[in-house]
Amino acid sequence: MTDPGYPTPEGDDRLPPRSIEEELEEILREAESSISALRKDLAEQRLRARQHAEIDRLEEHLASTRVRWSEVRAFFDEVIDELRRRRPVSGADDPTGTSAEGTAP
Amino acid sequence: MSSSTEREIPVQADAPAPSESPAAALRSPLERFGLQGQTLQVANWLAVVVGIYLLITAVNVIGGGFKAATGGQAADLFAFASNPFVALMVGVVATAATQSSSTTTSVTVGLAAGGLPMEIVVPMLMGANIGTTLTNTLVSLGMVRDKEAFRRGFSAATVHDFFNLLAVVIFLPLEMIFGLLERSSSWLSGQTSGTDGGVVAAVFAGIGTVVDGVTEPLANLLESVTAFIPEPWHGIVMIAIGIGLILAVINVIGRLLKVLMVGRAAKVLHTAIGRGPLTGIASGMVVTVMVQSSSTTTSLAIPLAGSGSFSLRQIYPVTIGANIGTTITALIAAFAFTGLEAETALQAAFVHLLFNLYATIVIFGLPPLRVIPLRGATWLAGLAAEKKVWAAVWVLGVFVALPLALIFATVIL
Repeated sequence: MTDPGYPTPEGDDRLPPRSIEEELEEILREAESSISALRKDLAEQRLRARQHAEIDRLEEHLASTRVRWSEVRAFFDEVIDELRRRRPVSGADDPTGTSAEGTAP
Repeated sequence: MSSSTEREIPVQADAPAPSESPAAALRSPLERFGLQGQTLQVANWLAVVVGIYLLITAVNVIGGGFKAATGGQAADLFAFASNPFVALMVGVVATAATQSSSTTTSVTVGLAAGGLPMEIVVPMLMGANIGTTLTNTLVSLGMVRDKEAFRRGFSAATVHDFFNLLAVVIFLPLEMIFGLLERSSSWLSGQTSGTDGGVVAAVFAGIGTVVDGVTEPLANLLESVTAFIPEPWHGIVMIAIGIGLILAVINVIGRLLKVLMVGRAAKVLHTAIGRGPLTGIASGMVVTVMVQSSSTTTSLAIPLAGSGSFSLRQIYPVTIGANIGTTITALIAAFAFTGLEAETALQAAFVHLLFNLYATIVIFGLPPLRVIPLRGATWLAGLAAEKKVWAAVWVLGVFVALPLALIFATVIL
């Protein structure tokens, strides 16, 4: 694929002649690499901006560092609901029909 | 807080708000007296100074009360807790119940000065480290309605649990075999408060004498007011008064310092963004010293992680820094005493400091150990996000069932 008309540096017989196609591919690779680095930098900048914005809400976050027992209770209510939802499924496989499904509150 | 994107906890640009609760605002307890502006600011600072004075006085009262209640026979009376696992669990349960490691460590410093043997003090202080992780774990449960936020928040909470549990797993056996913390803290307290400690000891002794001179009158007043009660109940009442005072003071100081320090804490955290893990540790330490509460710093990490803006790897060093920062309270409390009592109290405070320093150096310093809390927290949070019962099992198991079962098994059986 060597372009016979491609000029090579006079007197430099160590480097093989390069085709225009190879040159263009290298330029493309460099461009893609630069774009990738730029995208990474941009993502980093956006992430840092979000982190700074989050720290700007520090007062609000500090105010919520106390345990809210209503939320803890809501969590345990959800756990109990989750366990109850799972019980009929296991009971449905019970061929004897003596599962806890019928007795569950 | 390095800002590199992490794989374990992916960052999401459109992450939902960590909590559905309305935005809360910090309020000083003194606002109810109609104070505002500069007057409120000055009053807040004065209240902090008074709070620290009362904290040191309370520790002094506990030390005196413990000595009176045990009649100098603390070792015999506390033989039931001489098993290090029981002492460890007493520390866990006491801290989990009060939601304040500062309270447990301050009380322990007072008890140490009153004669509680160091072989009980060391595991109790280790237990305080485990117990304090309950607070941010409970805070993370508030995110349960949003699966992804809960996964991120719960992992940020439990990375602290895993780190502190691992620290105890490593250092409690070392303490039982070699007395690592007892020996090193004894040397350090000798250097800083002993009679042959040189300039540093002279400075510490000078500060201790001034602080003791200021706090002694109130401690004596409390002692004389309750003097009509026969021993050992008089000593027990004094301990109860001291613990009550510390609980109240730590609570109020914590609320005041949040109001006073929010701006400075924000500056510290802004500066830490985009830097490495050592800066993360330092920022966690500084913020904790500012607010005098490790659970405030570690709970603060929950919404930061839950929002998706900070990864688990970025939160991890901050929580470790909080462990170190919180040891300042016990060091302050140690100034309640002079002479030999001061040396013992300071030794107890140094146990807490050295334990957290050693744990940071060993666990965070060694890559194979460093990843254990990260992996543990990621694994547990993944389980808990799918089935919330695992989060309930973790909370009730680690902080309630296991400590009570161990105490029951050792003391009753």
